[in-house]
Amino acid sequence: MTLWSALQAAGFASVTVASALGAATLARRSLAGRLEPWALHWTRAGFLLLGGALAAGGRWPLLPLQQWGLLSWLIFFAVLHVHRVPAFKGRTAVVAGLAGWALSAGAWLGLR
Amino acid sequence: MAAPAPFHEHMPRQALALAGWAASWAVLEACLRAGGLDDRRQLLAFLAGLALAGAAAVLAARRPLFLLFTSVRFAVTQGAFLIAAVALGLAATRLGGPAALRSDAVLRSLWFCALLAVLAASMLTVTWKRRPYDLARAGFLLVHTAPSMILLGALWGRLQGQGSWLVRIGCASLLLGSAWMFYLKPPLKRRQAARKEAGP
Repeated sequence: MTLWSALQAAGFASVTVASALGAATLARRSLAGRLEPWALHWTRAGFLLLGGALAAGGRWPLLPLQQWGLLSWLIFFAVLHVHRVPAFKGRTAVVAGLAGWALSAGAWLGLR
Repeated sequence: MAAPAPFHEHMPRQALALAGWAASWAVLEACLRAGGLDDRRQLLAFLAGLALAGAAAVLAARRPLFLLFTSVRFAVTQGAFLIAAVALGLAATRLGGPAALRSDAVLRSLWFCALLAVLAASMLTVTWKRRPYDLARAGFLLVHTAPSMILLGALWGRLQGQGSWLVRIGCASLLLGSAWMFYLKPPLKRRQAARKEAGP
């Protein structure tokens, strides 16, 4: 396993944890106050690791899996900025995170 | 009736503007290719066109442009647009779509570079807005100047065959800056706040 693929796997695992926490807050609103900061924390960690994977991945044009990494990095770039828009904070941001994760996972399955 | 949201807050109109921006560069790229220009000359024409468009935009609409480039909603719109472009490329590659839509072609195209140039310009404008600079903003500054370095390095690499060092510096800035912003700054801030509360 290369460094970039290990970082990519760790990054995707982090955003998967974030999405699971986000899904839990949607299922039980009473948990939102406690879980949303943790979901954001895991999203940030995933974004950082996916960025690390891109940095370690070498020159362009990228391999298909690295292109998927770029797509995922862009998705979580947008998700982190959605959290910064006051009107989108809370439920909308969580739904955006889940949709982003679904797109990223769908693209990965498509590549396989 | 409520007044419509200003352009820098209106995401659908921003998406349309980005589509127009990308489409005009795609048309220009097709014209340059039809004119028989090689990759290097296309890039030089791109840089000249970008400089002209940037200068004209700053002269004609400095204030609206500043508001747009520093809007978080515009950052989200740009993210969504770039996601759509890369996803389209991956889907075309996987499903055997037209060569011009496949991810290798998309990532090397002038229209994708033009979208990245807008992203880099937005991030530099946000950095400018955050003056005066101090240590607490180091992470934010590193993160928001890094994409410009990466883009410059990538363009320089395509023109001269060198420039990967600039890309590496950009990537390192992005990672260090993110780590500072997300993990190092919050505990420092908490400690400072606790010290203030405790008093002299």
